[in-house]
Amino acid sequence: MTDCIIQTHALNFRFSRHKKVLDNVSLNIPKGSIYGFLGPNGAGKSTTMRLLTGILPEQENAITIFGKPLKEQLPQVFNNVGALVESPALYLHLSGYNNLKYIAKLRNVPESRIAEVLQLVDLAADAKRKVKYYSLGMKQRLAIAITLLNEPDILLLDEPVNGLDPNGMRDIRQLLVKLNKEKGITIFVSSHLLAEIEKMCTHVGIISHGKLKFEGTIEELSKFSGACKIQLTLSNAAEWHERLLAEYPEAVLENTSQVVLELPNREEIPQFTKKLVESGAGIYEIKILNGLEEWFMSLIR
Amino acid sequence: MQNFLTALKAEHIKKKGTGLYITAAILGIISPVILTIVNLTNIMHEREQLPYNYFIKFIENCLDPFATFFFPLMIIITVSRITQLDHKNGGWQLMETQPLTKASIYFSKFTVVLTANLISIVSLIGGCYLFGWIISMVNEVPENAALTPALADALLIAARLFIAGLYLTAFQYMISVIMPSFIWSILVGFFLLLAYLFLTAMGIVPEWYPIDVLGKISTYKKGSELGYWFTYSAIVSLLCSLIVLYIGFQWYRHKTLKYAFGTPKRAGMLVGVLAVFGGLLAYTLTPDVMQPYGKTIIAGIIDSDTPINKLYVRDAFINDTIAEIDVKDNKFHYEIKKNMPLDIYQVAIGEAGAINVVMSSNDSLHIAVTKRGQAADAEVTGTRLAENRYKKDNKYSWSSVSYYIQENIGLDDEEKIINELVDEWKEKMNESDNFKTVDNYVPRDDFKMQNKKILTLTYLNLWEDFLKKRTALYPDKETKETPEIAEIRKTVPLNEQGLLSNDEYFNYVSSQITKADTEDISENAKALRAIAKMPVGDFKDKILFKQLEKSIKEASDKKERDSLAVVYTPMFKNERYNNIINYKKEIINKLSKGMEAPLFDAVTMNNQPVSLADFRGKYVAIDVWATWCAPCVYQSPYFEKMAVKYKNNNIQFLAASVDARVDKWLVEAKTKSKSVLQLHIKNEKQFSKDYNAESIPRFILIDPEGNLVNADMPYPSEPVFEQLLRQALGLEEQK
Repeated sequence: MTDCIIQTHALNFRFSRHKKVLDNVSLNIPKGSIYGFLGPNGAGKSTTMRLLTGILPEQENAITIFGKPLKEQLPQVFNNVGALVESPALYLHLSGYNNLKYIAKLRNVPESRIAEVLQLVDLAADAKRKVKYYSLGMKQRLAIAITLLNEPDILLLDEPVNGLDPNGMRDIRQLLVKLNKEKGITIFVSSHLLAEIEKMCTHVGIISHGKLKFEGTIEELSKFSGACKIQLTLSNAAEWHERLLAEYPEAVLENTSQVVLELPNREEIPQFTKKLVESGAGIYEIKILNGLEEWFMSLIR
Repeated sequence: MQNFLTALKAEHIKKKGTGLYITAAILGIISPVILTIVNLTNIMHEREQLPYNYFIKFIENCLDPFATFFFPLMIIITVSRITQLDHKNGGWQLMETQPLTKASIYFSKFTVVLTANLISIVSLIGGCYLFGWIISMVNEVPENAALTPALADALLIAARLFIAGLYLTAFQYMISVIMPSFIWSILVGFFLLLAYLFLTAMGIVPEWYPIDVLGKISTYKKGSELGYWFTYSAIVSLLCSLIVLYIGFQWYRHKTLKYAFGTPKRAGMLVGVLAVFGGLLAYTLTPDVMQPYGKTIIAGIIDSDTPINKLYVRDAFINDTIAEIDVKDNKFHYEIKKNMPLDIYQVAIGEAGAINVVMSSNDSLHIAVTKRGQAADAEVTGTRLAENRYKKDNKYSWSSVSYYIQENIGLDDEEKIINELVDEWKEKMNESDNFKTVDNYVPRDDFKMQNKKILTLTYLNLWEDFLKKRTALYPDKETKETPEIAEIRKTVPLNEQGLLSNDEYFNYVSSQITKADTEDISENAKALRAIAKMPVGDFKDKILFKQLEKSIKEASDKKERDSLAVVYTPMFKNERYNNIINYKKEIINKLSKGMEAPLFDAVTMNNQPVSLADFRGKYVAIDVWATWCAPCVYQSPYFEKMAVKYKNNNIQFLAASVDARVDKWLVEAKTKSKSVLQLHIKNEKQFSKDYNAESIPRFILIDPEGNLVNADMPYPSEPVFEQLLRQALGLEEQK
């Protein structure tokens, strides 16, 4: 991949001699992407995130950011990187505004910028309230606002939607996509929810037991995931099931109107439909049953 | 640096609403508030008679609660709170994902704590000025107290406190940053505070103990005796805080001890830092000893309300004048050529009394004398700095074994008393070994050796007392000298003439040489008999002189005194002792019953001259006193009671003051009973000499012919005074 803004070259990390938390993890995050870093709890996501932010001192010299080793750039690199690790790190005794003011002071950002980011995360109305009275979603948004203060080139977000309700998740998602589109910010976001990642990311990396299992674009992901299961809703389902069995022996009659079968891949769907229609089938609906989910589960098992 | 300032400014945004600085200010002002309440509820009588600064004194009084309790408490609380701010909210990680160096993070927060320290100290000092001023409005300010601000002195105290607080602050800060739970940092802090109390009680606080450095501020309120701004303990605090800051920062930076100091390079750095600063620390803590000067010099300055033109250096044994020193412009400088063995010498300040000075030949001493009325103080510096400080500080210490033996407690348990005695002796020896001054000077070995002997004497004499009591109480049980007691005994030889100016040594030697003598005669007689058998020499001369002086003083009449002198004075090798004894004997003889009372002149309150001779034809009872003499003031009412009771008899009661200041005497005398005629003696020096008046109060009874009935009456508070009075007046005994 060309023009990677963050790269790790066979990153290893061990807490003790025998326990290797990360094993040969090579990540390539292209500039301008939203990179979803996917994995179940305990897979090494947070460790990777903490290594990327330098909170955990690196044991080797495997991380480059903006094309240079991370170690050499700490801590100035945070002038261009916004990071949210083990969220939300906020001072509960301070108001939302003062939390931002604190970081604005540290990052040498003019105070006028505070109102802008508050507007951006839709917290302008609650700015004067103490953070301890905020809801989890508000805290999460404020934490993101903090990372946005000085318009970074990279956002590193650790489980930004963890614990939020569907509305909250959608808000954050939309915010991130908007930031990516409008400001061209590269976003590296970790999550254990495949659906979330699928909905907003352009690139995905999947980690399990400290090993990188997959890395690529969303499209590559679905290709890589192989066979595509579809559900057909059609008239005379039983009859068509008999006829399809010849070519697709694994076809199953789900009920009186639905048949489920597996195509080699997504690209087969138009051809397959055309053939059926031409054979005179009365098709009401063709639905792709998500094979990704199942594949992901098998991958991280 | 810019990075650090940014972090520091941001820290101040972060601590908004925590009241960190307010707490610091409150904990600073508590001490002056407490002292003010105490001051306003009980009127405290300032015994200080020498001039002092009112406000500085107030601050110094606050140092005890502040330096060893409220200030450390404030540090522990502040450090815990400021670090918890980030532990609780994930702030450390937040800060580490900002463009901040770890050094900026660590030291900006530390700077906030130091600012709180400063605020607390300023609040203390400010509070002292404010409340001191309020008290000065309500209570009367003593006349010798100056009400000037003395800001420079206050500033120095503040600076000393600040530096002393650095070490504890750095230490607590390290603990609090590393341990995320606030319980631990608070626990460690309180443990330090409590352990300090116990360690102090046991007298084994190490000098690198974080709170000891603060404790020294309250122990040595005046700071350096040598005029330095800071003492060695300030340097200890600085060095220790540098070491702790280094370890704390590295630990924080690399998260775990293993990463902080595990690699060869970092371990090497640590060893380097420890070697450099630890070495400096060891050097700072090593005590200094003043070396002899080569010449014997006494110099100094005098600050006195009455002019002092001459100083006299006297030996402590027979009060021989060794040097007569001229004072010019309140300064003096004198070289003594005579040989002076190490001892306590008296420096008489004109006619106002004397101060004791430890010195020997080849010492150069500087004495700064302050004198107001009868109160005098002297700061001795120079080559015997530590020795003189030791003598000044160790006036009295409680001894439980002495209490047991005196009060006959637990004398049946021989072993317990012996153990107690031996333990206490060992403790004393330790104390003597470990003594150092505020500037880290220790006494020279010659003094230490001699001092140990003197300290041991107390215990040897206690042992003798114990033995005597045991023999009396349990005649059938033998009390054996244990090996430990024998060990103690070895410390003190029986023929060291340098120790003879010490009464305890004299008593001890007397008890040892008369031990075997079981004849039924007085202890004085036994002692003289034993001394007579000693080989001729300086030691015999000195001990004979002491014993003979005592025997003559205690002899019942002139005849006995004369015969004592006749028998024993020829034994002196040194003629000088012979002369002194005879002189003293003559004075005492002159004051014996029936001898003519020496005459003296005085004035009444109306400034009328009076002579003792004016009272011929009447019995005369005299109370010799002075306004500054507390026991005299205590006895006066009893004396007045006698005067009222016997005013119809043929007797005149006189109160004769020896005050140097007539105005002071007048004020006091006017409040006295009219039954006693108030007089002020004109030539008090001559009077003291004539009547051998070494101390006051002194009561004298003279008959109508002007002859002495009793030159040294018991105190009027005792019934025997009245008995003697009635006897003389020919009244019958009271029933």
